[in-house]
Amino acid sequence: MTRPGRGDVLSSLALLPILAVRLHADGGNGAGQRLALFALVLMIAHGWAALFAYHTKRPIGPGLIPYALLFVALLPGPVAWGGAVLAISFGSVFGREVFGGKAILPPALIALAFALFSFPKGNFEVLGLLSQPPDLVFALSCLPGAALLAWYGGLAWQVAAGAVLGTVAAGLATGHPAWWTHLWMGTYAAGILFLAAAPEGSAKTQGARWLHGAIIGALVVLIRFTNPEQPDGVVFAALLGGLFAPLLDRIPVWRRTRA
Amino acid sequence: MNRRLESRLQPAIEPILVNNPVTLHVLGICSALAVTTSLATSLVMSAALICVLTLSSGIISLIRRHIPRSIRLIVQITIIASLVIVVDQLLQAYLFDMSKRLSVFVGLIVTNCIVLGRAEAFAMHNPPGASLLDGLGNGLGYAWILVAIGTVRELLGKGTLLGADVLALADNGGWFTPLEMMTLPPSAFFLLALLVWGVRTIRREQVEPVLVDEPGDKAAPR
Repeated sequence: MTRPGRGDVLSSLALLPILAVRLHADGGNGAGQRLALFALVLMIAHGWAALFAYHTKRPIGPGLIPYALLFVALLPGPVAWGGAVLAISFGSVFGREVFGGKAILPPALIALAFALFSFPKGNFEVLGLLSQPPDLVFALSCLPGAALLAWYGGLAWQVAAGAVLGTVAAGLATGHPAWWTHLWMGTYAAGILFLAAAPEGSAKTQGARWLHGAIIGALVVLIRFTNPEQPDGVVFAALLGGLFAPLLDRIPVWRRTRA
Repeated sequence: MNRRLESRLQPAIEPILVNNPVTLHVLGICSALAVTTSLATSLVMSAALICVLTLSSGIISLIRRHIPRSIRLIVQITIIASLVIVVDQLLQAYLFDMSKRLSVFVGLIVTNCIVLGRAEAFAMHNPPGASLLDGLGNGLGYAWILVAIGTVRELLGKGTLLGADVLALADNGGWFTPLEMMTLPPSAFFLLALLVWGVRTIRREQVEPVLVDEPGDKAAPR
């Protein structure tokens, strides 16, 4: 195993609280399963990375432990092992290794999107998760880690702030009663802070980051209200919004060349 | 196989793997993505394309010396469109359900770049026999990709093949949970990408040169 870098250690530390909350909510048996799944998923991600490193004769890129941690912590409900293995492999290969370690979106986001699209109901009980009381605790447990990452530069805080603004705007526009609960329902906080605002997927310029976040925040509300197949919607919104990031980064370039 | 027969059959064999229209030229992707949700639709679509491509190449090659250069595309498209209409009508007459499931994609064979591409690149310059074989070979090259993707998508997406249960579904007390992702269009993209990747790993000469070197990227991707 390669030695994890400073970024890996900090990111892993930041993710530990949300994993702890998930494990506590799982209860004894479920917690054991989730930990075992973490070990398995980490081994598979490392296996893919090693295979590609061997073939391209490059060192194994960083970020494997945070990747596995984030995937396991955000995976909703009871988990089909085969599905999780497929999803993490997909995220590893298509989200990480084919681009030579330079991800265009966080690999955990790709893996989770694969899992949620493959098993919209049944094995991944997202609906059950949405109505669970520890939502607020789960959301609060993201904050210390997010603060740590933002201080270290491992998190584009403008995206997160933009997302909150986007959600508020979309919530007000829809006029749905108690729309503000969307700010901590389900995987909102964790998804926005650790997936959408991850530096590898977010826009690179300051203004574009706010806009990028706002698009994701508004999309979350839109998806939750209109798509019963994706009741959580955060991963889907982050995926869709992430595709806008390179385009949004062009805006300052256009403005400068026109002036 | 003796050498003479081999060189005769060359136009039919080469496009299957070495010069495949889908994996090398990346043509015909639209229908490859759209109709591969099940094996049955992939098979029928493949058969329809093979018919149209073989016949159109043969016919265009037959009259290639009589087609004025300035209107050759119009003539080619007219021939291809006529054949597509015949195939479409035959499907509607004898396989109505299948023609409903394939919806517009049989009609869209007219716009399939493989068909016009072979007419323009091969049938216009070669005798009818070779053109027939070239059409057949390219059709088969397209077909095996469709069938491969269709098989994987139906098997993993529904646990069935040609509608018959193959994998025991978890809903019926089995072990297999279908991947709903496989029934959605993006999965066809990923499978096709994996297939192209696989073919190009085996046949390195198909890998396209890198157009833009990124600064600091010393080891250029293969």
